Amino acid sequence: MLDDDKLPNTPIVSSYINDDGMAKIINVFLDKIPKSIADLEANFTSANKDNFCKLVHQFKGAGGGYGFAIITKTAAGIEMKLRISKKEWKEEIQKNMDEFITVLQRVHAGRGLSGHT
Amino acid sequence: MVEENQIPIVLVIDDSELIHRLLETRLQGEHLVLHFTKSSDEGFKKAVEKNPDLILLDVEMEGMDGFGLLEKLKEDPRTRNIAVIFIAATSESKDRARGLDMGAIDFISKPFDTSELKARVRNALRTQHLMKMLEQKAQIDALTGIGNRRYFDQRLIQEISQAKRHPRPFSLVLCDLDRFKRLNDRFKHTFGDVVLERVAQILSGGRTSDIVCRWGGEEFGLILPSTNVQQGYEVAERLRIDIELAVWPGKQDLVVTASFGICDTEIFSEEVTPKAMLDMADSALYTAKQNGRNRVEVARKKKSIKIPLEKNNSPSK
Repeated sequence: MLDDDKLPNTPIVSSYINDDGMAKIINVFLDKIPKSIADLEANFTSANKDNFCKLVHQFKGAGGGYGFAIITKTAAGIEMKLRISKKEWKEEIQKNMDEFITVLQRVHAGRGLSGHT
Repeated sequence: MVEENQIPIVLVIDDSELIHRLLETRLQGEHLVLHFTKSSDEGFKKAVEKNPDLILLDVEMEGMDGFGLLEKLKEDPRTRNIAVIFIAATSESKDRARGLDMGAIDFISKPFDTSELKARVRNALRTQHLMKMLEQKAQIDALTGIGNRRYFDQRLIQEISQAKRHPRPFSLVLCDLDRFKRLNDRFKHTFGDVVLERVAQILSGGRTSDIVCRWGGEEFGLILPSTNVQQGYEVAERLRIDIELAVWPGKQDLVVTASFGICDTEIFSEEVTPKAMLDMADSALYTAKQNGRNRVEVARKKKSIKIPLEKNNSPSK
């Protein structure tokens, strides 16, 4: 299994890659990622904190279930910061946001690799 | 009533479609039927409509959150007994404690571990099945095997509530065996029990939708859904004849008879209540007794006869 944290530019594949039952829904999950990234960025840019929190929370809940523990971990980091941050929340989570988008891009890049077709 | 091979229904209330798909995949092959909703309001409606065995409930949702919905479910008698497991991305113990204190039976953390998810769902369904069986046993009359007074009272409340929501009449029948004390004195109580069992069988042998219960000693109550008083009269009359024609082992000449009182919801111009319906059917039963027994009497709107009621409000004959 890839050590996702140490190889920042490599695609990430699901830990359920060999689980036949999961293949179909993992692809649905991966197909939704570009739109989710766009939604995350749009809500972040427009400072719509409620919608942004909701999207992050959904990734936190679903990511690990689809075999992407790193999504859950990164989303949880953002959620924790959002909980304690106040007015300047965007500045405070900017770095985590960039990291999160990178993770999502790497996950999406894994589509088609090693069984994700 | 609980059926052994009934497939359990599980309702998932979670605002994420990704979680719906994941649960559907992970619980594939389990002996259950899944339904999904994305909001608390819709979830509550579906809980009432489907009466699921188990609800998998997300904690954080837009509008009413999982805690709010759990409170609503526990307050409503129609949904109070549905088992609820929280599925939550939170791992905070205060949230878990709060949910359990409010009546949730378990917590599953997101992301799910599949084998743990399945084990917790199976465990919840097993417990729920046992609870339903216990509840059912508490509602069954030990001698006759039909519903008891408690079950009858519950079903009467439910039927009245249904009749208010979807206007359609239903009939209530009270049946009382004639001169049962005399029969007990003559043939002993063991034979009296045989008579009660057989009469319960005869009364239950009618339409499958009818609800038949033992209301007290030698009294039975029948709720006839979607049945007006004319149709109810025909049902009661058939049952009366079946009881009269019953053959009793070792007692070829014995004839057991019963009297019936019947009323339906259409007789009431004011609000229908269980007590009002029972009083009406009881009045009709009293009339049947007064008019010679072994007959069916229908409740009339304005009774001139005052019925002497005992303290517990049970019919006196």
